[in-house]
Amino acid sequence: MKPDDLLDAIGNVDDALIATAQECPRRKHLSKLWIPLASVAACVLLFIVLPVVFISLRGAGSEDYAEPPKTGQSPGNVRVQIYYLKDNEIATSEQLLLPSVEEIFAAWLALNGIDEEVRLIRISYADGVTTFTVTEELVTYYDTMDASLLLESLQTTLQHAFPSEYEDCRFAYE
Amino acid sequence: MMDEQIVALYWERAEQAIAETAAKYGRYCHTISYTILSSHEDAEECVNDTYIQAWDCIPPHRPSILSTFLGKITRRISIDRWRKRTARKRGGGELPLVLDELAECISDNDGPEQELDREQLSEVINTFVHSLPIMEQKVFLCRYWYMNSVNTIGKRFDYSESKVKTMLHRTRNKLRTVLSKEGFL
Repeated sequence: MKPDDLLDAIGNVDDALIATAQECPRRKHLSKLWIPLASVAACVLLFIVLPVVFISLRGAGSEDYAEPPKTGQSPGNVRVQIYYLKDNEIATSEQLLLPSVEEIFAAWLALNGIDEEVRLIRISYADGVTTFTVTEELVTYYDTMDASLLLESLQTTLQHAFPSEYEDCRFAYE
Repeated sequence: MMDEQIVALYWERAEQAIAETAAKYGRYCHTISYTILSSHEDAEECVNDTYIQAWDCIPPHRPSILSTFLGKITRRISIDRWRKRTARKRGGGELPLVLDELAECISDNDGPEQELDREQLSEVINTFVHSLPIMEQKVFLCRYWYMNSVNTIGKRFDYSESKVKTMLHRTRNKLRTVLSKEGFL
């Protein structure tokens, strides 16, 4: 067989596949402008709007700070939307209440259909880069999942949950 | 004009069919041909030959996806013209590079030359492409059907060139495995 034979055979692929091959998928592409704007909006909401709403609901001058928050959200929980891959496009979950980055990471693994054999070993931070060290079984998923999209989905999840943090994330494998 | 209406013109043997085809798909076919031949004049001739072949083929064909029907004709004509050229030197468009890459899929084929069942090979390739994840499929077809450059593919899908090359390399390895399993190597 010669390369020309392969070339000719590829020429006979189904019309429907050829017709759509050059179409860009509808990614929920997060433009570089949208993320910082979303971060600013999240900060405004967190530090300005929510306290104002909270104070106005409780009444000016009230000193009864011993009551638990009326939202039902226990301290330490983070309200987070998980970004994950579905058919190699980024999809989003409903909002979840999760207590820690480790729990968020576990939820992210589950939504991506990644088995429990992939475990988070540690999270480290140096020189502006957050490294998620995981078991090397994650690499086997790169045959069917776009590795950079997968990382992007994790990074976006964490940036939304913790604005201005997790701007540069990496995977390491052990 | 909708594809069904253009195809109907072919069936009615109305010469307007060619004009409508050229208006709607002339640029598309020209791009396919130019990517292979790197010559606007040669591409123009191939596109004109495409219209002639389409006129001869319809009827009896009634293509459901007219763009791809025409694109396949153009691609075949352009590749045949490229092969007939006396000098097959590097740098003449993407085709030499594409053939070098596809050669990797059969690089272990040191056995004696056997008569190739081309129809079966096409079926195997078609099944293989269908089995690929969507983005791998698109990148593979953009490279080996449309012969887009790695740079063009990267810009189209917002991938780095390195990522496109890695994806193609991985897909070629899978293809080699499939070809070996099916007894072509």
